[in-house]
Amino acid sequence: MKKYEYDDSVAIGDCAYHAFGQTLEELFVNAGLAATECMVDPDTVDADQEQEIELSADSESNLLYEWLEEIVYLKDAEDIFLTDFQIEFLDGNKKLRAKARGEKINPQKHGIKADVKAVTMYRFDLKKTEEGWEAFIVLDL
Amino acid sequence: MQSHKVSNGIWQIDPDQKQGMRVPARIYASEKLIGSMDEGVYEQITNVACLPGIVSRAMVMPDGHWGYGFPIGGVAAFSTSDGVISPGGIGFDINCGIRMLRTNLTLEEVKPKMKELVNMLFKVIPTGVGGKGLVRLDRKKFEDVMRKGVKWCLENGYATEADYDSIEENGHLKWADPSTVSDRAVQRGINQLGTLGSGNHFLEIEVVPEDLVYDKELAPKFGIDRPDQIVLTIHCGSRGFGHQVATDFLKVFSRAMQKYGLTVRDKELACAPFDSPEGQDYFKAMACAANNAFANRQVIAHRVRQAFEHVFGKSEQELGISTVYDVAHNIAKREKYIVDGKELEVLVHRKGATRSFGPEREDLPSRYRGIGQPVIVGGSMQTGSYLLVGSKYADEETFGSTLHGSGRTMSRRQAKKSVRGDELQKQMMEAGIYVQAASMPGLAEEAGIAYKNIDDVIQAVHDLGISKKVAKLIPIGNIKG
Repeated sequence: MKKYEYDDSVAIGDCAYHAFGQTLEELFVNAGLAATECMVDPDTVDADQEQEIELSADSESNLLYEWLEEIVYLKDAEDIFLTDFQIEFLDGNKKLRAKARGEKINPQKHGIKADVKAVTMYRFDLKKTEEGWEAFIVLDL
Repeated sequence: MQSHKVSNGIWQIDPDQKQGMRVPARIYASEKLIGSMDEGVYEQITNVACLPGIVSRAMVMPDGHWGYGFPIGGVAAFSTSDGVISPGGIGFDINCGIRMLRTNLTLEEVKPKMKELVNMLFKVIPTGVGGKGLVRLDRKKFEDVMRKGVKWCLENGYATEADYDSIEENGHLKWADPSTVSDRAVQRGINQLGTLGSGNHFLEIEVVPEDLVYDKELAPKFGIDRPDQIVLTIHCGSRGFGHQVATDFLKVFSRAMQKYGLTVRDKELACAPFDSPEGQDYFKAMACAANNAFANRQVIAHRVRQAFEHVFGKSEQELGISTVYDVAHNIAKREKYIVDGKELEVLVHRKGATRSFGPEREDLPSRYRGIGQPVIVGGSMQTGSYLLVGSKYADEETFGSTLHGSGRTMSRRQAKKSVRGDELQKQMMEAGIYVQAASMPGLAEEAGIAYKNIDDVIQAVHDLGISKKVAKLIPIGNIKG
């Protein structure tokens, strides 16, 4: 199963992608990694720092939005690119607790691409499929 | 979806084309450009036409393209008494905008020092993802920036009175209220004042060749007064702070919609009545972000002057580096227009669109009141930018609005497949443009081939008359985020 696939046909100035996962955990990990990959080549990032993340929302879809939003927020607030995620869901998938690892931003070391400004709600979608889960996300670049 | 030609340069989609459209949608484009408008423009502008309280029409400028919520190049005016405000009609990068500086220098004087100058600017102005700002601020001072914008810069030695007089709203939206801003937005932006950011943001050194001065009477009034004159443009926005303000309120509005019985065709168009606690809070928080963006461009302009002083060994006065104007192209403003014969106050949303006031508007600085507002349009880094002037016709047809740039036609990933950043840097060098970039893939994404032809989109607004050509600015040096 593909982890994620960028979609060039939508919102051409921005970054649209489909993320996939056999489980909801896998979907969240892959969607998070795709967001990071818009900003930096993940192979140039060593996961030597850890952030604990706890989030809650009233639906799985809104929780996915919060999760991606947190990755974008930490890029500026903590100056960190996150590439390695361990996630557990609580309260019937309305809460998540995650360990996210990455590295403080270092332009000399990292293969930096573009700044992600925000996670948009344009066509934002999370759905269950026969193979597991699929999401569609557009990030504002 | 069908559009029909209303007159030269104006195409209309009537309200019967989509259920829920309250007004028609208009696309401003030449015959050549209308064919290149992507399907997203049609989908998104007709969604905008469905929003409550929209007045007259939803509009797309010639540089329009597929965005999120509103299309890029989208303009819509809403009644301030019974209309809405929507963060998706402003964009996450609140008050992304562009400033133009003029100088006394000519190409002949600058050319031998071009590399030194660009390298120096690249060194002293933080660019790219994670760039830390030029100014260290504590929470209280950051709130002062939110409240006062360029006025704060003036009080703290980063601006001159002349700068303050040469910016849309003086770079100081007085209705800003920091109590409406989250701690999260502060955390995200407190270290970023005086940073360029990335994406299509740039600082460009340009020359104005004499044969590309189209309005020889007006140009000197905008500071263009010698052959082969050097000017600069600074294109950036409110950085992480503004992005977070918009994100916070997108969520607030998504929740509030049910309370106000509102539905929208796209979640990104989440909105609230302008005259509601949520609507007013966002308007005040947006002003904080807009002030932060005006201050950001001001601090960068201040640092540019210092760099020029250093490289040329002359004072700011001798170099004559002064602000021509500074315009916002992602913002919502309260403005008054004649609608159906009566004066009406509206909230004009401009997303990737520039204010284009004609002469006699009170909001213009006194020196421009007799001639109209300078409109600065940033093109792609390979093709150049334009200085235009606003017009009375824009006040009548487009709620005082015009285009903001070239407009993309190719996705970022496609652009990267077409050209490599380092090759592009070399090509540009051969073409006489010395460029330094924080990210080579980022540079490739901004290649000229990814954009509409700037001359075509400018000619479209010029022929239509919503703004008029004054001069074209040709790039010779560029720093990119």
